[in-house]
Amino acid sequence: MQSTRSSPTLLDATSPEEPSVPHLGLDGADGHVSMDRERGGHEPERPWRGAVDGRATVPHTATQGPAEGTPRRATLSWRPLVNAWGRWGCAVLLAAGCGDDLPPLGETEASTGALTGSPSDDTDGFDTGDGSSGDTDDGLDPQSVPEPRAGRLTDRQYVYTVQDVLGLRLLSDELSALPADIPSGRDYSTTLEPQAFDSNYVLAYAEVARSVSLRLDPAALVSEHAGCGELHPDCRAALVENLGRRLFRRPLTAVEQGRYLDLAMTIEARPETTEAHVVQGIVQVLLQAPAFLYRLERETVGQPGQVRSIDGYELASRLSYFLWQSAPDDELLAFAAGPAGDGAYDPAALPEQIDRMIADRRFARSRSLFWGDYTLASRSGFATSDPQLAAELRDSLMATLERISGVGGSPQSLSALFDGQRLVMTPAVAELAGATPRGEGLQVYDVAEAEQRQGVVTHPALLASIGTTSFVGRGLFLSERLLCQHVAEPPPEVADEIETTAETTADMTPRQASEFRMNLEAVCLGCHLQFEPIAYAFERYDMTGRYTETDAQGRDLFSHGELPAFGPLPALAFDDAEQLLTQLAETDAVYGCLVENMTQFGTGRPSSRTGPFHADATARFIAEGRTFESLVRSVAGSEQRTLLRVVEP
Amino acid sequence: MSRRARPGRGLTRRAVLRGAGGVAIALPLLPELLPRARASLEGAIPQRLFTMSFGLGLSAAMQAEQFAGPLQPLQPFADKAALFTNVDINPLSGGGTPHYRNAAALFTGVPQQGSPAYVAGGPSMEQVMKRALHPDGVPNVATPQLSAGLWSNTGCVAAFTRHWNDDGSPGQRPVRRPSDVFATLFGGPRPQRPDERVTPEQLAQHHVHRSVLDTVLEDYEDMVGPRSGLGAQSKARIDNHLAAIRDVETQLVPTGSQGGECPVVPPASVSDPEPYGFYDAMVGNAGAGAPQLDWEVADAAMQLLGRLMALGAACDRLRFGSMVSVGAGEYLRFAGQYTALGDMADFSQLFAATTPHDAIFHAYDPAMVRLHQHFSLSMLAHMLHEMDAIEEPNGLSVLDNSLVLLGTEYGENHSASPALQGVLGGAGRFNPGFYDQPLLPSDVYHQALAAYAIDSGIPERWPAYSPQEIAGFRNE
Repeated sequence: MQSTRSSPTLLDATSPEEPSVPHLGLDGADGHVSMDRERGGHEPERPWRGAVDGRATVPHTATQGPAEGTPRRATLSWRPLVNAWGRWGCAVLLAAGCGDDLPPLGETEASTGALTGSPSDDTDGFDTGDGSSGDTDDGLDPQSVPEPRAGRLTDRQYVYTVQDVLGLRLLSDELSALPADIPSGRDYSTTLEPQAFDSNYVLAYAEVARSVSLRLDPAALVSEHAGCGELHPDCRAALVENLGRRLFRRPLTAVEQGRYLDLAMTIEARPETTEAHVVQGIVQVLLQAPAFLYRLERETVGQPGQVRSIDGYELASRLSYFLWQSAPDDELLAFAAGPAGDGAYDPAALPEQIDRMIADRRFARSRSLFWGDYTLASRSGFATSDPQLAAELRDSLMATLERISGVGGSPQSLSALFDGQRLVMTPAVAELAGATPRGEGLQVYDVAEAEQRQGVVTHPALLASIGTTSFVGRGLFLSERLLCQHVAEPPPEVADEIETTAETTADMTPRQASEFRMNLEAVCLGCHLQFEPIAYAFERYDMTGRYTETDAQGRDLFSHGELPAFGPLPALAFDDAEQLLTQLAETDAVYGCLVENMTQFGTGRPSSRTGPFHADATARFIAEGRTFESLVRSVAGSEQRTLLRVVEP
Repeated sequence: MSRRARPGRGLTRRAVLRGAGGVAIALPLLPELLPRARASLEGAIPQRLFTMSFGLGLSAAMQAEQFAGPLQPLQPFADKAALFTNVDINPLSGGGTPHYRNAAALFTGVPQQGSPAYVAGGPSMEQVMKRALHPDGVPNVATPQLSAGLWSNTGCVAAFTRHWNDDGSPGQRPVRRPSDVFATLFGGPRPQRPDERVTPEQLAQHHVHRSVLDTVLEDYEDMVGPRSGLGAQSKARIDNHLAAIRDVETQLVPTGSQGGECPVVPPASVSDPEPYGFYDAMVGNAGAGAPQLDWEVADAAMQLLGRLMALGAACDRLRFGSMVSVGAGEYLRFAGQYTALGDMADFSQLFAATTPHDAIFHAYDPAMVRLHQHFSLSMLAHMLHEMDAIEEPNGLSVLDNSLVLLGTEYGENHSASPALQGVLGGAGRFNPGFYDQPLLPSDVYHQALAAYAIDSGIPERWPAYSPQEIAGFRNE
């Protein structure tokens, strides 16, 4: 292992059990700083350094609040210019990551042809027997099922799988050797695209496999997986078969079984080697095999372009990496095998397995990972250079979400994201929230009396995790996460003109700058009108989520606005954040958006609110109480999870 | 998808040993443990390709200043540098955020795949040369390829990735710490001395590792075969893995000596300039960006990185790689006063509250951009100096004997044209100077590789592209 420094650990190697508030595994105190919190308020105005190409700045007037008694609407009083993106927009878009539009399902051409029956015969790659492959529902659009894609186990999935199957936690050196998987922008950690790969991964996998194989007790391994009381060549076949089945998430093919037994004989052929070396070799080859490192499915079995039902082993792997970030256990593999042991699982037994998996302690991994990614808590600097505060913000936010999810108590409706009255916070975070700090450490605070504090969305930590007060930045995050509004990239022909707004709006408040953009006649206006309005409700929350009615320059800040109608979401006018959030809590569209987010997390692929699966899952989620578990159950139990769109070889 | 037949599959080492029937073999007769004759470099200088990039571009006016402007750090290499000042990246960049869409096209020569991923449309040129010259893996070299440099994570891999795999997926992230580069290049398995005796346990472990590797290779070859049950995209991903295994086969299971004679003795160890801790961070916000880093600390780190990469090349421990001096759309905030070109930039003040990207590029300040880019290029120039300072057996420097491609993601302030590209080294294959002919980056890459009789593959991957000759560039 070439790194000698301590590195962020994916797991706490010393704790006997996984913590109740799972360690996110990424050191939030990376020194990432957005703004000095002592400045408070919003980001300071940038000094104007002169005109660009001789263009004069456009004078602006302060935005006034509406006169008492008059309806509040976003003012659109600026002279239009051919411009759309301000300096903040470009900067925050870069901050937000690669891009903001997700390719819709079904972009590829649909092929025609009837769904064929049984899969092909033995392949050298893998073959799980006949499996199940049946007709899809009448009228099902194959494009509603994503194309299959081999996905490398993420760093977390690798670590958890080794732990669960081999009973071994990786040492810090082993963890350091594994290249870290870094999500792009607002992607989930489970996203399959793009997955980086190079020779460093190969070296790391080999090094970890060797190290793990040396640390394992060969006799114990053979006893557990081969049922043998001692190391003996006669135990090899059972060891390969059983350990291979667990690590590959399916029975080995005859080719694989034969190949690994050949390996055992080759190792044995040297006079220096012992049976322990043979066992080490078997472990090493299994941990470096493609069937272990990649989640593979039989993509070409069936009629290309059509949809088939996956077999039990493929389903078990999908479920276990969704719910546990790890391999199936023996019980799940037994379910996968089905009564006849051929991968034809019993669909009636599926809900019970999902329930079992949700109740299992390993589910905490996925729960923590989802919320950390959903809120960006797992990767944010929280707009502060104070590592202690950043840690407290992260812990406060995650504890709040865990509590809502039912950890340590009854699961709550996820409407609490919008209308909940209780936030978990440390005293420092409570102070930011306008609550009276008390006690030490994480406490549950009733924020009903705090000004403009309602729902997890107004948790100081969530707003701080966004890292900006710009209406572009906050708007993009909130509109995407809460409303599933995915915004396309600006077309290249306006790139040059994007810069001119930067100078024009340099000295404006975020609302003034936004209203300026909203009044433009430009191709970009359509997108900005879509994603910026939601941010209007949060103008009065500064970078660290503290509520304030004026900015650092003493200028008034406001909170009124109107969301335009979009898809299933109706137009919503609001006076402040509380009013907006109360309305959103009563809107089914936001729960459909949660389903979309969970689907993306669970599948590692972009989701879509169109198609029958999303509607069914959303209906189920709402009907079962809108809890976190019902959200997971609605996605995990979706029929889409049991289907695969066949592709060409 | 590229696939290379594994020669002699029926005669794998494993098969031979099985046939030996387990007959005891005295130490140390396994062929791979016999010390191999050190390769003489006389008349056999290995071909190398390194890409070098800096973020945030150079305006046409700054390019026109030639070595009187931000390009001044390259002046010592004027007699071996061809610099192209009228390059248009637009046809390759497509839609999306300018930094990422242009950066994802750098050094590949083909259009990038677009948002939201901004991954490349094909392999980067050092991968192309590596595959062309070494289809079965770079032989006997400790680290066939390495990316290094200074960058911060803004959430998009295209900002800092310069190694792109055959399928356009991102390769290695640039290694930031000099000590990590040192460990990679010089801290790996050491050659065995001929008189050194191995212990039975060492021999056993070596046997295990070699046998496992043979078996693993068979697994991956099957997975990219016709009966794997995988579609084309999945096979491409597995193929990347297979290619990567072949690249580091000699690292996985060392076989005697690696690399050639080192003309310069490598250091015994390396200390990283400090404070540098933030730049280990792999995640975090951009926005107002990273903490400020003293420009002299950054400069020292880049100098050390450049020296190590040059030494690696000279010792034939490295043949392909990339160096990044500030990623695309960079958010690194430097501190300190920087003086060059008769002017001074107070980085501490300029970037106290924001990043260079916002402070001097969005709010365009040409005078400050000039100095910031002078600094970026001077950091890259360290590696060029180090490469040029080492003489090889053929009387030329490591730089002369290497091919270096230089580029940045745009021209003036987010405009993808004209963007600077450059070619350095080449052992006399190219004519130095400034070229103002309208070009695509693809033209530069295609012609540069053609000088080595290597097909860049760009026309094949981008059928709409027609290669354009660059007048006077190649020294036929």
